[in-house]
Amino acid sequence: MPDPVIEFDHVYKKFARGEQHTSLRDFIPAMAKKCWPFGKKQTAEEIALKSQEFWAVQDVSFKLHKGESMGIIGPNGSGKSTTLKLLSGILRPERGTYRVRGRLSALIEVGAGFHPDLTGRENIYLNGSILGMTRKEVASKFNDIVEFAGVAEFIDTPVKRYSSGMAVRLGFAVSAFIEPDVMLVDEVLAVGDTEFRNRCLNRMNKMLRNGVTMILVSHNLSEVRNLCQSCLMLYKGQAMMQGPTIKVIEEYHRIVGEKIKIEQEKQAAIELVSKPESSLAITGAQLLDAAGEPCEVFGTGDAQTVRIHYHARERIAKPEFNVELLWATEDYVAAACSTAAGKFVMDPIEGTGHVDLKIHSLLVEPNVYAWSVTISNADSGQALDTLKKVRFVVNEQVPIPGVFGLMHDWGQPVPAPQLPVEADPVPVVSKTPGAASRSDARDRAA
Amino acid sequence: MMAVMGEMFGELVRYRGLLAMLAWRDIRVRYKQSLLGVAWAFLMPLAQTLVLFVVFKFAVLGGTVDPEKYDNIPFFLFILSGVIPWTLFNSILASSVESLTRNSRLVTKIYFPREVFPLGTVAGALVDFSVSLSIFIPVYLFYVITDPRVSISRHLVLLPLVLIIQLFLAAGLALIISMANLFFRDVKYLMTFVLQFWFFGTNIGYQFHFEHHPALKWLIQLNPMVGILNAYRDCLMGHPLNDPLGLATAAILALIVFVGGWRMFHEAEFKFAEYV
Repeated sequence: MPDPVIEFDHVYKKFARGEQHTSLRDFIPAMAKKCWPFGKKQTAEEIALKSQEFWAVQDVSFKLHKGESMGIIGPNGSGKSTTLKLLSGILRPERGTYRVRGRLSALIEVGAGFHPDLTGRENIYLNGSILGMTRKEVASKFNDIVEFAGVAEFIDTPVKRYSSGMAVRLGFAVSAFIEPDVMLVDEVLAVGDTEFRNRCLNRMNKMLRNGVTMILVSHNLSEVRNLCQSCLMLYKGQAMMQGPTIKVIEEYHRIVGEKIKIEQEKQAAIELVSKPESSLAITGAQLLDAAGEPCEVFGTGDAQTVRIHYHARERIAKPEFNVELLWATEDYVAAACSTAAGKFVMDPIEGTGHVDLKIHSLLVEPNVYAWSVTISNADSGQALDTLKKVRFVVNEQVPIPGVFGLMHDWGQPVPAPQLPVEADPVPVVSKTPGAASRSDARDRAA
Repeated sequence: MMAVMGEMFGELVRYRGLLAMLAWRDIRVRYKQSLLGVAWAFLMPLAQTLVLFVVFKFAVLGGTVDPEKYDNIPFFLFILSGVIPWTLFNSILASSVESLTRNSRLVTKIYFPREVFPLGTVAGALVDFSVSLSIFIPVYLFYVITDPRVSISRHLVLLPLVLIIQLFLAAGLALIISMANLFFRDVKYLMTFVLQFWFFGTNIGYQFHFEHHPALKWLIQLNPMVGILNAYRDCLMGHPLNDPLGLATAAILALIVFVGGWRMFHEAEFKFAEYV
């Protein structure tokens, strides 16, 4: 097996909390010692943490071979970007070694080198050379870059007059046309519209197919799922888990889920205390699997029942139940409302009881989700009570390409039946292609 | 030591395109949205020369200039030949001091040898310097033709060497102060003061005559810019160096500052992203 392209071997990097008050008194001797060519290597105690210091990256190792791609996921401040900065040489580790073979390009901040007073054209050349391209290389790709960014008409306008989206697109376009051996990408696709994001993803996929080795840091797990074979989960600078992307993301969901659950319980306790007396209270919500068992982890394509428990202190003649599906990021995904389009009118409710919402099939991408349940009075339109963050996890079972699955069937037009001609003795009819395909269709239907 | 220097140099050569690009950016940005554009590169030293000329000739010297006190150089040429190299030196130091902090986004986000920032300002100032020659050369030729004291001779070939010494000195200082300012922002305030002080300690609008003050003479000898300006003027006048020791001191100092400064810069470079 050839040497790995990226080697990251037990790397440690520490940072200091608070402002860095380097006094001249500490700084000058330290610098003088560094410049002294016969100085000895730092000893172990010197590397150990002082107060106010913490490990931003602690004992992280990984290896990537040519053409492989790895995602790095983890909550904010877990050391993802620091890892990339170490790899690109911006930071130097306290301990451990790393090695990158080949031309490296880091997309750590799109358009970092842009100067607002320069035109788009000038900035393409400037940014290209910052990212390590020669003038010639930029010139040969100039038209592609402009086309990719879609800013052709503004190419001779100063970038300060660009909308922020345009500037980002131009920034990414320049980076997208470098031809590195190793590509480090840090959360750069979070901006830009969907169409542009897809274009970027396609571009990155193409680079991967061309044998680029890639590390992708992202909070967008579906991006990681689509681009990376393996994945590293960092938490507080430590590698929590490393392996196939699907497994790591599942584990990440589980941990995030736990965290949300704790928060949710805290929130519920607060709400219970602060909630004013209302005519109705949602006393709880349960998630049940197909067998009717309480469950929090589902697979894509599974059935789910949301059981909403309430206590109505007075009779509510026309109750309305509304549930909203949210991502862990609180982005609104879908909703189901009991009175929508007059589909089903609930009976009047009073006292303690429950209603069920049956989801036939969870055709949504693997992720952490939460239901937000609201009961309101359909007569007055007044919301009576809301229960938030009824969370659950969906893991990959049936592959869902994209954000949600489509309930669908395929069909082909069935040719009109050919009536057998009685007088015809030749038994060809049953062998006509039409008949054959009809029976095939029947087989498929069965 | 030599190996490290070689490696540093090699890396810089690889990134020469970027260095040129950054210098180009600085120049481009400096003259964007300005009516006179690059003409400022010679208008500024010209204006400064006129001010110094008027102030010294009429306010200080009462209208008559004793050529003996100015090494027998026509007074206007004396000042202009001091102001133009000084402007180069001054603009390198003034713009390099913030070259790293101004580009902190790049310093923290993208890797390349950080030397390109201070050295880029050197390149940018050099372009301005070349533009300002467009005013200097006609003035110089005018004096060559009209004033018998000024002549072009083989001594003019020393001029590029003097320029190189000055550039090494300025580049070394640029590396040191840009790095120092990254760690301590006091440096940029200090620099405005230092440059002002240095201006008065350099023979731009006057020539030093400290024959009777040995302590001051010794102090002025330590200012490499004095030796450099004297050498420029000797070359331009067409006679051999009057002050070879001054130039030699400047050359040695320039080398020490450049090599030492670059070495220090290189050693501290990996801390920049954390401290900026």
